[in-house]
Amino acid sequence: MHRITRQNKSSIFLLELIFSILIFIVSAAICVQLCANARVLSNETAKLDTAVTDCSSIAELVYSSDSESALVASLEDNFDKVMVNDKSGAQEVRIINDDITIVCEIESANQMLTAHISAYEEDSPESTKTSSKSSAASSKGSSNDASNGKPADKSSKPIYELNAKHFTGAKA
Amino acid sequence: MKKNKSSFNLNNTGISLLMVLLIVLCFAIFAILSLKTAQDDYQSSKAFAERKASYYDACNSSEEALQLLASGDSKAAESKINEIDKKANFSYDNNVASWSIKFSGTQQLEVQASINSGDATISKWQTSTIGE
Repeated sequence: MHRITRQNKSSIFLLELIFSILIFIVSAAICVQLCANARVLSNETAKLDTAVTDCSSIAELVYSSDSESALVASLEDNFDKVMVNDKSGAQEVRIINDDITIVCEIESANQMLTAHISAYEEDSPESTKTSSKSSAASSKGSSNDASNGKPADKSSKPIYELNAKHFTGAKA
Repeated sequence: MKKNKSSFNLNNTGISLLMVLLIVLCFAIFAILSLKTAQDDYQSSKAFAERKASYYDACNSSEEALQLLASGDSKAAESKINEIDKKANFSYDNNVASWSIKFSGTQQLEVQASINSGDATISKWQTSTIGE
């Protein structure tokens, strides 16, 4: 009959230990990847939630405003970091809230106040430096603060978009 | 007689491997549960975002219809409402217009307004559950 020697015992134990460590390494790598995916997904969810909440807040302000200037004033009242850009025939308002930048293009014609609201992820500090030279006609809050960042490049895909139209001739 | 303390017992073989498998199983369960929760949260956020967008589409169409009605073009207003919901029950009698736009599976926006020359007075702007 085959006898288990002391040397055999050690090699069996070593083999088992190596096998255990290998299994642990492979499984831990898979589990860490799953957890990382979950974290990325939760961050995206948080950003989407913030974007939806902010965009709908702005849409409600559009429905309660009678003119472009009233809308801009109520946006400045309701948000901390607001930058207003006057364009020909339209106004562009940029709002920075948490990690989200909201671009709101406001137009008014034939008693119809129209706002196109888009939420973008805020720029990284690198791109902030390059884009900070672009001018804003007027601003409220601490817009000179470098940590504010500038809104994301409009060519990037928005997280969320909403259109809000309000007939200013309507009364409740 | 002195006993050999380091005597090897075959029954102990595999205990460490079993422990590792148990720990790995726990890790895997936690990781899968957290991923599933995150996925469900994301799906529900997306559904909420879509529902919001549909609601504001319905509101925008209603505002445009009010503008058209105020300018005296009731046909255009009706077609504007029917663009978004063909079963909107648009009616316009005695300067009072009403419609209800379905914007999600179970919800609709009910609007009623009286139209005067150039403006409109909204008497009802309400979200309700279909079937109530």
